[in-house]
Amino acid sequence: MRKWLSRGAAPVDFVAQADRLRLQGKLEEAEAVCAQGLASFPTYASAHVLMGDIFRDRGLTAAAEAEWNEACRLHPEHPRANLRLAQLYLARGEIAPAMAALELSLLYSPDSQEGNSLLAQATEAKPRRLGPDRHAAWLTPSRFDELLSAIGGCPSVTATALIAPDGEVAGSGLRGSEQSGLAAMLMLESRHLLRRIEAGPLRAALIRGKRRDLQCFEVDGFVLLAYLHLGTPVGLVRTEIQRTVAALRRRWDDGGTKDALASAA
Amino acid sequence: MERLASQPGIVGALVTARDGLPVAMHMDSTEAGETWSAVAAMLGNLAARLLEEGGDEMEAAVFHTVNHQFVVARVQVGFLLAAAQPNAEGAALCDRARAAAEEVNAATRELIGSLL
Repeated sequence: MRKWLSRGAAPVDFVAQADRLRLQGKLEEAEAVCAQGLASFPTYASAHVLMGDIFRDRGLTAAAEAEWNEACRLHPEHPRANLRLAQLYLARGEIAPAMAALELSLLYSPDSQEGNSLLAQATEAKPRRLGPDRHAAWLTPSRFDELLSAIGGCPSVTATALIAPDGEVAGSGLRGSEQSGLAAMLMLESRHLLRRIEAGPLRAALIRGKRRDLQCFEVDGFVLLAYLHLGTPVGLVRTEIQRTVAALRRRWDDGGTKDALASAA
Repeated sequence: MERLASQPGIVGALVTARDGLPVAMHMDSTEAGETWSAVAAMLGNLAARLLEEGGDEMEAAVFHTVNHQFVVARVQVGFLLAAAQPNAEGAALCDRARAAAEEVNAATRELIGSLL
């Protein structure tokens, strides 16, 4: 497994000392020791995690989050940094990023009691049903099937699915071995990881296989999955799908305006 | 990696082991390279797992973000990552990454052959 401290000598002493002080409630002293150590070892991810813990104990949540994010920026798979972020997201009710951070944390510490207990909490908190209030204004549940069927009609596409922002499958035209749950996880975790390296928001992912390709798109917070014929040009399917979605939106918008005008009349 | 990174639109390239340890890289900074190496391995493992569950095998994955395009291609030792500008031509980028992956595989085979 990757070492969290990858460069230079191991400055574990200052972290142990600062953590002892933190546990004794001497938070200012703990912060001073940790800050001094970090000045010499700024890329020591575990020290940033501890600094975040100290800030959290002092009630400085934003500063704590910044330190945990810095630890994850240095080592995206750091289990404790991801665990801390997951706790924070969960406390705010942000279930999807909490799940993504937990997945990363448990990937390298699968037996962590704290991680597994948080995962159970996050799963419990995950809404069982889709509420209309969580949808983009134009993408209502009654339109899911129409959208999937229109995308499924694109020449490059063989099957489709729509995943809600919380990871639930909102609609699916997939069969047998086609994986909507895993694809949703790929998009959620990729989004999370790419944010860490400051790559900006994820727009789309294309996975090329030996037998067929899979394209995942972001559509107003939803993830749209499209299995493609093998070798479909990268740009072509994006254009086809974007045009189809745009045409549907125009039709729905026109319908909405007509309905409003009819009501007003 | 140096040859791949010098192609039009490509800003950096690296090869990572499956556990995220960097094997070779051509990036602006070592620190960024180590982080990107870990991210490339995680993205590659996830994408590979997704296709394997469906009975398929991953060749490459392209992630489009606002600031970059990332191509993760499978190689014998793990994954190859090519980071490109967001407006780079996707198909050409994918082809270059796959060609580079072939070269990496050939070099790996040669190295193993010379050790045996």
